Amino acid sequence: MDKSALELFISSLDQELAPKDQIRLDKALAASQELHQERVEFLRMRELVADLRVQRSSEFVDELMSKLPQQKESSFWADIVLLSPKVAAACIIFVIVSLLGIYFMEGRLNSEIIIGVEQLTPEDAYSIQEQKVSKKREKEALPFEMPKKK
Amino acid sequence: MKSFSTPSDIELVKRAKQGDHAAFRMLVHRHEHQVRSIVIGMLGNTAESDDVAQEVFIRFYRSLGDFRGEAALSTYLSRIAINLSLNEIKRRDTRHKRLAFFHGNEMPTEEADNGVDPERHDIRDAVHKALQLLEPDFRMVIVLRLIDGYSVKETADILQLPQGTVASRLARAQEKLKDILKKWNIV
Repeated sequence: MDKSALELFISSLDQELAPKDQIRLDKALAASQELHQERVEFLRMRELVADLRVQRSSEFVDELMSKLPQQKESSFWADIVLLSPKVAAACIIFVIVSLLGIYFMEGRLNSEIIIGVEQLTPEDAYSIQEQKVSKKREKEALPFEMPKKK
Repeated sequence: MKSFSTPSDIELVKRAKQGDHAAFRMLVHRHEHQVRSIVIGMLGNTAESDDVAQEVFIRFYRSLGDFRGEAALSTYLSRIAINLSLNEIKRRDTRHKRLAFFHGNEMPTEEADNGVDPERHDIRDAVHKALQLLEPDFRMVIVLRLIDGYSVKETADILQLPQGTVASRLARAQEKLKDILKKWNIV
């Protein structure tokens, strides 16, 4: 069988042939029983494959739609991770390294150490309050009114 | 008189972006059989195929804001379906290799199932089986062109390949598939 005629025939299944190629193919098909048989087999194969197209399924739609609201509600953090998994992973590593650093420097780990207030005493709080009050008094004791900014 | 024309995909996408679930449902209903055809064609008629097809729409739902309508929605969804199917094929291969490693290469491979007896399956199952024997690059052109009915140009757009590449893959894929089906006395 003429191999180029078979190639031409296969091309003709999916694309329009140039007029001279179409004439050559028609002649080859008329002359070769083998090529004609190939044509029958190819067309049957294409028909069988086209039959694999699935039917519409309302169950599929219902099942999918029942999943969607949950997806939307629970997707805030998932979306962040999806948008930038590398940034999310870097943040997690940064937090872990920071916590380990604090632990090795301080020898223990608790919320006061993490936010840096473990050495504050009630007196510190009192002196901050006192500073605020004395500033207020100084302001009230001024003999003249401060000019307003324009 | 007010006309009740069917809303276009673009209109439905616009409404879905504003949180209209009914509009999204219409989109799913309009495109689900096409997406499922691609996924089932690529992965075979298995339980995970429907999961992958659902994942296509979930991805689309999450990225509604990114869809600008530059490509037709069917092209966009087909592209997601092909990509997720290829990911699933890779995952399967990895799983298969791992199992083969632990079981001393005693796992049956797809090629080992070449001698399928067509009498044991109906023709549709056998054609599915034959399709699974093609390499994914060949399988996807067959699925898009012959099952979903896209033209060679549309198939090339979906796969982002030159038309010539798609045409030559299609020719080789059809030859291979026809040979398998002929060996099984189906064509």
